Amino acid sequence: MFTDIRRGFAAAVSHYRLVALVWVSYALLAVAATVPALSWWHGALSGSMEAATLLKRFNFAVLADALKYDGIGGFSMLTGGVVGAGLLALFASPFVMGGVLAVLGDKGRVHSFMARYFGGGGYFYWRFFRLMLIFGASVVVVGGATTMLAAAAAPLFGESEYGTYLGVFVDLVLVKFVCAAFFLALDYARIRVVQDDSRKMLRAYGAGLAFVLRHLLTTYAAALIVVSGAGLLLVGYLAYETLTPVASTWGLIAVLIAVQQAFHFLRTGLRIALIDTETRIWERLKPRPAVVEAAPAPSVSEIPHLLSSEGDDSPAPESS
Amino acid sequence: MRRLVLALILAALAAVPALADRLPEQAAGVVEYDIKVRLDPASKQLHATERVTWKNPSSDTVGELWFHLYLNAFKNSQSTFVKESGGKLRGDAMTPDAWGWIDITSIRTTSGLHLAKQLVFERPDDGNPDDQTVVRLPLAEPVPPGGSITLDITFVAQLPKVFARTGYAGSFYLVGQWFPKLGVYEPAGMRGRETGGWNCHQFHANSEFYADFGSYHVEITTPASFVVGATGVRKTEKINGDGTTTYTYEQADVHDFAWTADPRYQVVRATFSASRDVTTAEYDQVAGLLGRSRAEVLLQDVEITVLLQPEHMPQAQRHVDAAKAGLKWFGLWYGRYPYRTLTVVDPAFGGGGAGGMEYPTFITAGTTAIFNRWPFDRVRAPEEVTVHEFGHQFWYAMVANNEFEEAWLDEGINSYSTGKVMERVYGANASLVEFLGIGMGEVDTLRMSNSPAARFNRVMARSWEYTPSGTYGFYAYQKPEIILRTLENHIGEQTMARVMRTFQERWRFRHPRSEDFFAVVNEVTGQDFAWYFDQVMRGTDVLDYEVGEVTSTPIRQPRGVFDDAKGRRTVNEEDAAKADREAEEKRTATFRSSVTVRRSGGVYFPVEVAFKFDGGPVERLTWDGRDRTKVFTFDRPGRLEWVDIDPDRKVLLDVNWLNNGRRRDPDNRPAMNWTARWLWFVQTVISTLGMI
Repeated sequence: MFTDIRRGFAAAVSHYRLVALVWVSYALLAVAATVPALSWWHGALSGSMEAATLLKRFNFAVLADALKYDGIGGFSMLTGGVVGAGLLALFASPFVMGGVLAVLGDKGRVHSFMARYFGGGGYFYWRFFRLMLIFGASVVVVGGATTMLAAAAAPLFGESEYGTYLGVFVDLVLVKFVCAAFFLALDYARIRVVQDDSRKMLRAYGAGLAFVLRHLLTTYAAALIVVSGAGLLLVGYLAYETLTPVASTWGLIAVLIAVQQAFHFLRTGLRIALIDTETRIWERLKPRPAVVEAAPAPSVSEIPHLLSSEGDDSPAPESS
Repeated sequence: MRRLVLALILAALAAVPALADRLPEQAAGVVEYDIKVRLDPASKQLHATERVTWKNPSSDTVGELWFHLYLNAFKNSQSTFVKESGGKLRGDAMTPDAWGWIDITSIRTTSGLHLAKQLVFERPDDGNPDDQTVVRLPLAEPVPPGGSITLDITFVAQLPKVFARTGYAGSFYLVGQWFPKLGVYEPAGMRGRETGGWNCHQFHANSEFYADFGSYHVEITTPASFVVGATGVRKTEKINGDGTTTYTYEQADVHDFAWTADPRYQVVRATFSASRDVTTAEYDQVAGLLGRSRAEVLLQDVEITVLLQPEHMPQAQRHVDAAKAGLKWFGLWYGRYPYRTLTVVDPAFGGGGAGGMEYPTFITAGTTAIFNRWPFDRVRAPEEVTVHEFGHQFWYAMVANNEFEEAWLDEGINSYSTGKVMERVYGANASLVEFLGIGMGEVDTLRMSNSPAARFNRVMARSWEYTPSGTYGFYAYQKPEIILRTLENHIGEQTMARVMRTFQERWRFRHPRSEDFFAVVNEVTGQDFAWYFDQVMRGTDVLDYEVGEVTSTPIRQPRGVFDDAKGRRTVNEEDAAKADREAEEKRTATFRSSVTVRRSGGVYFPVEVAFKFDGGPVERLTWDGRDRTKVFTFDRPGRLEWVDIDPDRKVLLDVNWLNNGRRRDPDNRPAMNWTARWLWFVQTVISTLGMI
C-alpha cells in the first residue's frame, strides 16, 4: 500500500499539467463566482474611509455595515454565488474524474494530453454522472440511517458534558466512517468502469463497494494518509493567515492570493494522487476471474480508443 | 519591597477612616430575613421557615405587605413569565413537566395571629388571573410610620428543572428567587412617586429584581456530600446526625440571597489582595483620573471562591483572573467592593439557564469544556460573563435600580463598564475573541448590533414592554452601552470616569432612577444633556451621518464685461481659457470644493468633519448635526482628496460608518483583500464538490 501511495504521489507530480488543468478550471469557476462579490465590495468599500480598517485587521463590523442598507441582497448574492458555482462544480465532477482517469490510465501516451483529458471526460460523463447519483442516494439513505442509529445510541454515553461531546464525536466519526466507504466505492467503481468499459453502473458501484469492504484496511488507510496531507495543508494555510500581517499592500495581497492558489494546487494534486493510488490498489487487489478457456482477444476497435491499463506500472514523463 | 511598603501604607490608611471618602459604608436596612431551609434532593423541594422583619421607611401608615413569589412563574403554562417567554429564554428551554412553584403553608405574626388565609394574589402589571408571582397580605394591625412588623412564614418550594436562572439540573442546584420576598414600599417622593405605595411587579421573562436592602441570616441544610455556596460569609458548618450538613451564611447591606449546591463542585479559592493585585502606579493613575486622593481609591482584600464543574478545572485560573480583574477595575473606578466574599458559580452541563446571573456577592458564570484548550481558550466568553456578572455587584447590588422598570440602569451601565474592563485587560480589538488571527472587540460587536432598523423601541421602557420581546437585549444592554460610549467620547474619558464614580457614590445602597443618572451627568459635566438623553433614551430614532454630493473643480477665470476703478474691462473666452490652462499647468489654480454632509437618521449629535486637500493638511470643522444637510465649501490650492465625518469614530451611535467618508481616488485594496479571502472559501467549496 505504501508503494501504491508513493507511486500515486509520483504520478501526481509527473502529471503536473493534469493537476494544473483541474486547478485552473475550478479557480476560474471560483473567480467567476466571486466577481459579483468583488463588484459589491468595490462599490461599498473602495470609496469609503472606514474600509481602511480592513487593512489593519479582519473586521466583521465593516461587513455588517456593508449589509445594513443592503437588506439581504449582498448576503444573498454571496451565498447564491457559492451555491450556484458549487452546483456547477458538482455537475462538472463526472467530467473531471473521467478526464483524470483517462490521463492517468493512458500509460502509452498515444494521444495528446488534452485529447485524453477531454476525450475521457466526455466518454465517461453520463456513466460517472449515474454513479454519482447512486453514491448520493446511498449516502443519504445509509448516512441518515447511521445518524439515527447514533442518535439512538447517544444516551449510552451519559448526560454529562464529556459524555454528550463523546456522543456527538462518535456520531460524526461513525457517519463519516460509513459514508467514506460509499465515497471510496465511488472512486473504485469509476476505476472499474474505466478499465472494463462497463456500462452497468449499479453493478459497478456494487463491485466498488464490495472491493472497499473486502479491503477495508487498505482502502481506508490509503485514503486517510492522503487526506491527512490535505489536513496539513489546511493547517499550514491557516497558520499563514494567522501569523502573517494583514494583506494591506498590493504586494501582500498578491502574496496572499499566491499562497491561496498554492494551497488549492497542492490540494488538487493530493486528490489526483489519491485516485492514482486507488487505481494501483485496484489493479493489485481486484478480483481475478477464474481461468477458463481463453476467449478470442477483442479487436482493437472494441477497446475505448483512449484507454489502456496495460504497460509500464510506473509513471512516465508527460508527453508534450 | 515595594509591595511591602504599599501593604504597610494600606494597613495604616485602613486604620484611619478617610475623611474624604464619599462612599457610603452601609445601607439603611429596611428588611431582615432569618431563613432555615432544607433541600430534599429526591423531590427537588425546599422546606423552609422564614422570619422576616419589615421596617416602615415612610411617614405613611401601611396596612398591607406585598411579596414576590417568584417560583410560581414556573408553575404552569399560563403564568406571565411562561407566556412572555414561550418557555424559552436565553438559549434554554423548559423541560416538560418539570414545573416549579412555591406554597406559603403558614404565616403568622409574632403575637400568634395566623394570616395565611388573608393572602391575595395580585397581578399589577397585566391582570393575568393565572399569574401567582405576587401576593398581597392585608394586615390586621397596620404598621405605623417608622414602626416594624415581624412575620413567621413556613413555605414549601418545588424547584423547576433549570431553564431560566433557578432550579436543578442533575445534582446541580441553583436556588435563586426562592423565598417569599417583600416588595419595596416607596414613600412619596421616592423615585418620583407622588404617593406612597408598594412596588412589587410580577415576574416577567425579561425582568428580575427590585428589593430593599437589609440583612440575611440563612441556614442551609443539604446532604453532607453536597458542596454549598451562597451569598455572604459562611459563619458555621454543622454536621448533623442524619447525613446532612447545615451551613449558616450571613450578609448585611444586600437585597437578595441565593445559594447553590452540587456534590460535583470543585472548590477553587483565591484572595484578591488590595496590595498585591493592584500596583501603586495603578492606584495613582486612577486617583488622578478621578481627581481623588489615593485613600479614596484604595481597595480591600476579598476572598474569592470559584465553584467549578470538574470538566472545567483547566479554566479555574481564567475564572479567578476574571474575578480579580472585576474586583480591581470596578473597584478602582467606581469605589471599593465592600463585601468580604465573592462566590463564582459554574453551572453544570444542562443547567446553562442558570448561568450569567447576578446575586449579591454571588454570581453565576458559564462555560464549556471546549474552551479548555487552544485555540478555543482564546474565546473569552467565560471571562466576559464573569466580569459582567461581577459588575452587577456595583450596578444592581449596590446601586440598586428598579430593574423591572428601568433595566438599562443596571444592564446598560454594567455592559458599558464590562466593556471597559475587558478592553483594559485583554485589548480593545481582541477583548472578546482572539482566534486564528481574527480578533473581535467590544466596539465591533456593538457596531454589528446597532442597526438602522432598531428604531421601534425606547431604551427607557419597562422590561416587558419591548416589542418584540427579544429586542430587550439590544435596548437594555447594547444600546445604552453605545449611548454611554458616545457620551464618553464627547465629554472625555476623565469626565466620564468622574460621572460614573459620582453616580456610584451618590446612589450606592439606594434606588436611583434614570433621571438621577442624567442629573449626575449634568452636574459633573456642567452641561445640560437633556437634548441628548431625550433623543436616545426616550426617543426611538437612530443616528446616521453620510457624505452626499462632493465636487472639487478648478475656479475658472471670470469672463465677460467688468466695471472697476480703471473703467470697463472685457475678458473674452479665449484669454480666460488660456489663463485657466496656464494656472493648471503651473499648478497655481484654485479649486472650489463642495461637500454635502447629511443626516439620514432622526438623532443628531455634534460631530467633526475632516477634509483633506491635495498638498494640504487635514482640516477639521465641527457640525452640530441639527440640520438634515450641510454644505461645506472651500477654495483651496488643491483638489479635495477625501472627506470624513467623525474621523475619530467617536459617535458610536452612528449605525453605519461606511458611508461616513468619501475618497476622490478609490482605494481598492480593502475590497481586494476581502475578495481574496472569499475567493479562497468559494474555491475550496467548488474544488471539493468538483472532485467528488
